[in-house]
Amino acid sequence: MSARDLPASVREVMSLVLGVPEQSLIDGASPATLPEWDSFRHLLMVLAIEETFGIRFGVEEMEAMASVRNIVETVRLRMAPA
Amino acid sequence: MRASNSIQADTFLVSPARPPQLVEGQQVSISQLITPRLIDAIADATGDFNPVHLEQQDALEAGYSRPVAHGLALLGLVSRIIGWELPGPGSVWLDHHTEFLNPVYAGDEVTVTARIASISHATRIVTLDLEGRNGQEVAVMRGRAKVRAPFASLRPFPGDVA
Repeated sequence: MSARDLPASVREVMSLVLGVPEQSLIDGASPATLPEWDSFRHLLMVLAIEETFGIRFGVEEMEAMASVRNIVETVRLRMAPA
Repeated sequence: MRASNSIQADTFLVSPARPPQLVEGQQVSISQLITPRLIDAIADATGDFNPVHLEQQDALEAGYSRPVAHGLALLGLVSRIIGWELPGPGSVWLDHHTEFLNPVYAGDEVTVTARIASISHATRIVTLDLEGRNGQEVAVMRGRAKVRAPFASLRPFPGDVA
């Protein structure tokens, strides 16, 4: 997967778990702007991202995932070569 | 002989075999005799009086040699493992997918095994692979469950402050 594909792939996973169209997952979308994004779905979404991309997050990383932009950036950092 | 199909009150007086911390690959198996009494109890508890579970003639007409236990008999054992042993008390069952591969009859002793396939420390969600076998070692169920584990059962994630 190229770096350019990453945001789209993350949005696809989020869309499936949250049950919202990918177009609604703009950079600034967050639990405050999407009623479907509740704490339960947040857990399942983070788990789905971990499983899809073969990565594991720490608790602090998950707590920082407060918007689509934050999530894409966190995944990008995890996927970056060490 | 004490019936092994019912969850006896004294079962709850014994501390569960609960490991202090969970690791991938860890597994727990429990066995239970499926009795007509258990099948009746499930019918009473759920309101599922489908005669294929309760009546010999209906089971025969449906193509079975005798009444077939409810799938809940197996899922109940999964619930017992999750809530009492792996991950144990404090766990919350979030999701599962199961296939019932072969019928379970009264008189079968079934064994259900749950094995930790993966652990997500960030979400505290433990994914369990599930398998059920009858006394002849025939697979009767397989599946996967996601469970939120109690905080104390997980090791700190590398990089997190303990």
